[in-house]
Amino acid sequence: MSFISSYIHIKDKEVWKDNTLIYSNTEGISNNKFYKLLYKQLAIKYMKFYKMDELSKLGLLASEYLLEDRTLTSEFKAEDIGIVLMNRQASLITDIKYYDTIKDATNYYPSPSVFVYTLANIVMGEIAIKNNFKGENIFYVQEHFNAELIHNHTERLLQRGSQQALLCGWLEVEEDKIDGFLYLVENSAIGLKLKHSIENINILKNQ
Amino acid sequence: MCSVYLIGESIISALGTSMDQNMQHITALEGGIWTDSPSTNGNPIPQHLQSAPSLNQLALGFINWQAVEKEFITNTIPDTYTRFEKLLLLAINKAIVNTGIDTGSSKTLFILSTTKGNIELLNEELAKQYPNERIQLWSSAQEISRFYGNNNTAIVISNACVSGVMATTEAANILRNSNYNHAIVIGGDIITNFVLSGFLSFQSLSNKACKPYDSERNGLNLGEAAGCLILSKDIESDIEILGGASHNDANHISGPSRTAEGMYYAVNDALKYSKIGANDIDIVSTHGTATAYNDEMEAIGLSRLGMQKTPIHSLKGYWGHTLGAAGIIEIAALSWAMKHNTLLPTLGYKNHGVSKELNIQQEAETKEISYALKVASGFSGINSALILKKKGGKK
Repeated sequence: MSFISSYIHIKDKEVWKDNTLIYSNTEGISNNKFYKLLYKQLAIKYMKFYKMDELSKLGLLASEYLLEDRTLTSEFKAEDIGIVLMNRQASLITDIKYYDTIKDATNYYPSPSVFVYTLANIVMGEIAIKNNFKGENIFYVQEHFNAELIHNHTERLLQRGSQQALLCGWLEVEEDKIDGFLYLVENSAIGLKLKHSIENINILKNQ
Repeated sequence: MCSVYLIGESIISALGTSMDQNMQHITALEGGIWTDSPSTNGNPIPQHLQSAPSLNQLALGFINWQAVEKEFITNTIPDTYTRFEKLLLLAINKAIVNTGIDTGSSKTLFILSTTKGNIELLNEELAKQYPNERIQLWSSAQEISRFYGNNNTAIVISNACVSGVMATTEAANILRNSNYNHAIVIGGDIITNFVLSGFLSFQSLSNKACKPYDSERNGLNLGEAAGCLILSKDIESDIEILGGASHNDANHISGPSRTAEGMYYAVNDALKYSKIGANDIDIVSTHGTATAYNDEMEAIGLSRLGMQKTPIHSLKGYWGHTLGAAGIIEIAALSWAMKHNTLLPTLGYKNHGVSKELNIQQEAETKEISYALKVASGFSGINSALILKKKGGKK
């Protein structure tokens, strides 16, 4: 039996953790300004953060909030901690930014540091590096949040004993919309002690 | 737990549009990488690449689009689909022939492996011809599955260069644990100015046909391809899909681990789930992109796994690095090798250029193959491994 021990939902300009609003900003600021505020609020020192694209920033911040009071690598082997993510637009928001640097022959300046983020799964690499998670990774692209797909994949990994803890969720960034939902699944009932089920995942996501 | 079999496969690459063409060229060590001079690939330069920056300094594995366009017509693939989608539809048509599966069944699942899909729709002129959402990967997958009358939600797996191996592993796992009977696993990516300019900015492209594991290797060749693998738990075949796994290096987003951390874990897990040991593997299809770091990492990984003597091949010298298609077409080629008991040769390798001993196959050779391993590694630090078994093989 597996459980959801904690979740985080960064939605528009609010941050919810385990059913509690822990941060909100009503000043109508840009996404990037908002990420910077969260970064400061979390009081992390991680210079690489500033180089990341929006999707990676959102994923990193959500994972930092989710794991604020945990060090998973002291509880589990690094190779037993996995990441299962999904979104709708893959890396489109960064694809458009990169395309702007190549579409005009007279203003052509492609940069490898932007290009690397034109892959949706890079955010998993960023979270893995920051936390030293060497477990299973998968990135799905779906029109809508598909709790069943994430749940079933996560359960298969837990049941065959290959993974002990998994960060799962949905990370979507649009022009002025943020939807970052991450939750932690493990075999022991701690924290929220919520049964890992499709129904419960959907309840948390829609709260 | 039930077994999952590979019952149909296809490859459309720089080497040709049929399995036979592709495998004849590979076993004869004939590459399909186009270089300005001399042209080793007879395919005409595609219209959309003629304006590519510094084309004469590039070596690319592009498809013969003139030949493919003709096949779109004979396969009655409508023009409402994009170039990328048409290529995938053609790949599916070729793979499902003789499998007898019902593509429209609620028990048939479509899984798409791609990195950039319809990214060329960022071009406003081109975008006008299609609905707005068509640039989304899920939209492509949905349109492709609808073409075959399938109403299930198609799954898209986009994990850089390991996408194809990961999608095949995921398809097999879903079949083993659900009511689905068949999975149509498709992989594809096309060469666009978007991807080409990015790899150029990374300075990871070779200006000659690439040389995997060679001392003179100086980068990869970008390729384009589409492929399809039909998986089934209802219909048996000679090739069974066993265990697979993926692990992150947690080291660097655009370079592999120096200790092959993720690859080592991925292969070990794949062996464990398949209930076999490294010694049982008769052939390894590696990622072998011919970049300095990738090939060195794989040599270290295979050495750590005790597989220095196991025959390996990289197919990148034939068709380049085909991104989201790579895992799919390289598994298709591997299954052919198993069925024909043939070790596949690596094109471009001459002088050993990695720090560990490896048994790199240089000529096609007959050998009984029971178990095969496919590995891949990609941006974000991800590594995937999958094992195939031949019916009647030892153990």
